[in-house]
Amino acid sequence: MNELESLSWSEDQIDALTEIMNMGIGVAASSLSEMVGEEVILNIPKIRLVSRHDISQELSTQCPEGMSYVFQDFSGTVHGRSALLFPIQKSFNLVKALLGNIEIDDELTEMEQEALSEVGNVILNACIATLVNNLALEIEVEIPQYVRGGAVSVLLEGDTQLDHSQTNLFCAVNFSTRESGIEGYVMFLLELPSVKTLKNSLEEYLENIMSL
Amino acid sequence: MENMLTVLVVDDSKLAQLMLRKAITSFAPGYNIIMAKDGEEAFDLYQKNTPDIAMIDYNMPGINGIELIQKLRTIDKEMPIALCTANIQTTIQNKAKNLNVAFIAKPVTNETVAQFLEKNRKTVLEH
Repeated sequence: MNELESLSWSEDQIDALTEIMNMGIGVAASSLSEMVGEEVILNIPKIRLVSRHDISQELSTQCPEGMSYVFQDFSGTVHGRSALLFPIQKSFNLVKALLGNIEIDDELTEMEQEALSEVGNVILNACIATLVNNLALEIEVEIPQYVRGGAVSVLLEGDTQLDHSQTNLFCAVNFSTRESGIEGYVMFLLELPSVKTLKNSLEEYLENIMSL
Repeated sequence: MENMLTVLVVDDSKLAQLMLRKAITSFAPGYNIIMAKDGEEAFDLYQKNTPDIAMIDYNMPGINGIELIQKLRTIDKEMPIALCTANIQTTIQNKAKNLNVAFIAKPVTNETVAQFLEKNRKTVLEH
């Protein structure tokens, strides 16, 4: 059984959310592909319920050398965090693809951090816009922030009031390119109260489609 | 004769299947629509039903839409096919073009589906 079914999500609602995320990431990948000049290979979005703590552990295992990431919080009808994450070395590859084949020290310059923030801005907003437009949500998006650190901080940075053991809806898509060796994840986290709101929006969305 | 056309829809999302079904039915209520959730099932259904037209998603479990189309093209070079995907990257669109396949960006609308079906209906009926 899908974990969301334990919150009375129907198979159709899970399917619809996956498809909407798929549409968002498709638009985002197109933008990224134009920026780096090659095809971006996408996986199918995975949606599940998990605590921030558990996601952090998983990411730490996958990327023990740490990650760089750009995150954007959003609030309104639903509240959560979107993030674009890269294993550190892969973020260097992205910067090189964006800015030309430059030498990169261990630390990214301000210009390089700006480049990553802008990519995050484009990609995360494409996903959020698709979600907002399809589900008639009202969401305010904060400015993107670049952070380099371990995976745990990815999920807690700037948000210390939240209980990181709390269950979240977690949606992740990983993407890669063949030539420039870019690899990363797009991730969305929604707090549990927002998950309920999202479920209601999906219900209305599906009803509208059925009645067309 | 027109009512006899069979359209193969391949998408792992039930929502996407539903939207395509509605768009096709809105264009031609009599069309026979067969659904597959992945490339493997689609290939089986193709061999059993020999559909006239196919509308195929790109990002699916198992083989992707382009790989499925390449497989189908080895046995059917003429069938009108549309790649229906939210993955609107130019490289994907070019791959579709090279396989003589139409490209429909998701979310599909009744209009985009109708345009594709209208354009290809005559070709199918002439064969």
